[in-house]
Amino acid sequence: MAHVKQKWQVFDMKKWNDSAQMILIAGFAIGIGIVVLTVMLNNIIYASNTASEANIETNVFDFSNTVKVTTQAYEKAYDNGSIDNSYISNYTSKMAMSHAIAGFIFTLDNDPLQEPYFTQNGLRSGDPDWVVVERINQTERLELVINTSSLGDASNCFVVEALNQSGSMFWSARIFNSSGTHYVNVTNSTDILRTYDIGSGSPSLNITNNTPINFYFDTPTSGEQYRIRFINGDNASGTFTLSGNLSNGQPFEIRRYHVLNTTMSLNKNGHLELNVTIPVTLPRGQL
Amino acid sequence: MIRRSTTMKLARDERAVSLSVGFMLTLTITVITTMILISSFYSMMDRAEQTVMRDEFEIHGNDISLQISNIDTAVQITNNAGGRVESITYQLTLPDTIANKQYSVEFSDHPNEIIFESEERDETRVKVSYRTQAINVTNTKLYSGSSDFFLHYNATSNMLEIR
Repeated sequence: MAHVKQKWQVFDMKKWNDSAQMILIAGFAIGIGIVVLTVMLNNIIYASNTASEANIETNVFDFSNTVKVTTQAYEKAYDNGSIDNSYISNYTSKMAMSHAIAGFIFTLDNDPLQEPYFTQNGLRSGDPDWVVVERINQTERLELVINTSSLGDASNCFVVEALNQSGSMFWSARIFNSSGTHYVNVTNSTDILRTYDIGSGSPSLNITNNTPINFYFDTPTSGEQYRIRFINGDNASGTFTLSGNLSNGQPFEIRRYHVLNTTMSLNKNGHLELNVTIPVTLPRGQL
Repeated sequence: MIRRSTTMKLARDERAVSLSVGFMLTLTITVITTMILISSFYSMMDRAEQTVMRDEFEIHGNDISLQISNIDTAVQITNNAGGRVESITYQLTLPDTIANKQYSVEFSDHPNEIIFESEERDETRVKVSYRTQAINVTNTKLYSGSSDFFLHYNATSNMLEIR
């Protein structure tokens, strides 16, 4: 019995020796695993840390807001045919302060008031063919004061026209210079209804009030949903007033007596410089 | 007969391997394993460097692409307001090296892509697309090393110049 017990003890010791080899191998495998994991982790940390250098400087929404707010500031500063310079200087300093928080230097400058052309932006270089108002239900006032010295000839005449929803013209006033005499032709879609010598200087044409002639505007436009378009606006300068109601019941009013060029500049630490010139039509040139 | 008996003798020999033979075997195996491990680590690190490089290129590419879009939008906003852009200049800050390697940035206008590349290797090439509506971008290739790159909008030619 004692002999048997001794044999079992020897067997246990041998088994224990084999386990030691396994522990050694396992330890070695764990060691390599840790090394591999460390290298991989190191790479991930390296990659994620070095990959965070990008930065964004321009915020176009800020820029868009600045353009809009500046236009409104000039509309407010316009008073009786002149610009209130103290209002603009106050506005500029306030804008400079609010932009300074974001690291921008804001500067604003403007040219003197000019007589506007009938283009979209009021300058001669602006878009000459443009829709002034869309979806009109009723026009209460449409009055033009034309500077005849800038009028083009019959082939490049300045046209005010009303178009229906399908885009067909059903009324127009064509104003032009013919050998020093200035005419307005009032037409419907097919015929000339009236030709009139408007004289020289700055004659006023009140289309809704039928002054100085009958413009035949009220009858074709009543009950119609239409838009008013200017064509060859670069061939005529002067002022206009247009007011009425849209088809959704909202009233609208455009008054354009002057145009001025504003130059805005935004500078961020020398990294970003943005200089733009934006014409503002006054006192309320756009919808 | 003698040889056979020697073979049989070796086969039936149950004694342990001598200490010196064991040591030589262990040393050889250790050296070979270490060499394989080190070389595999080197290639792994090299691949990781290219991965980091591509990540960085993508980030800088997207940043430039965003700036191009922003300038394009600013031009559109100004045009819609009836105005004109006098100038827009944006200073592009790019590192001299990425993952310790110099690189090139190519602005292609057809297709609209910004191509980053280092050592002219395909593994490092990254293409980031950009989109513009109102302006065009001039074909340019820049080389890292100068930190002063500028995106400049030329209002006369309606082109975005990179220099």
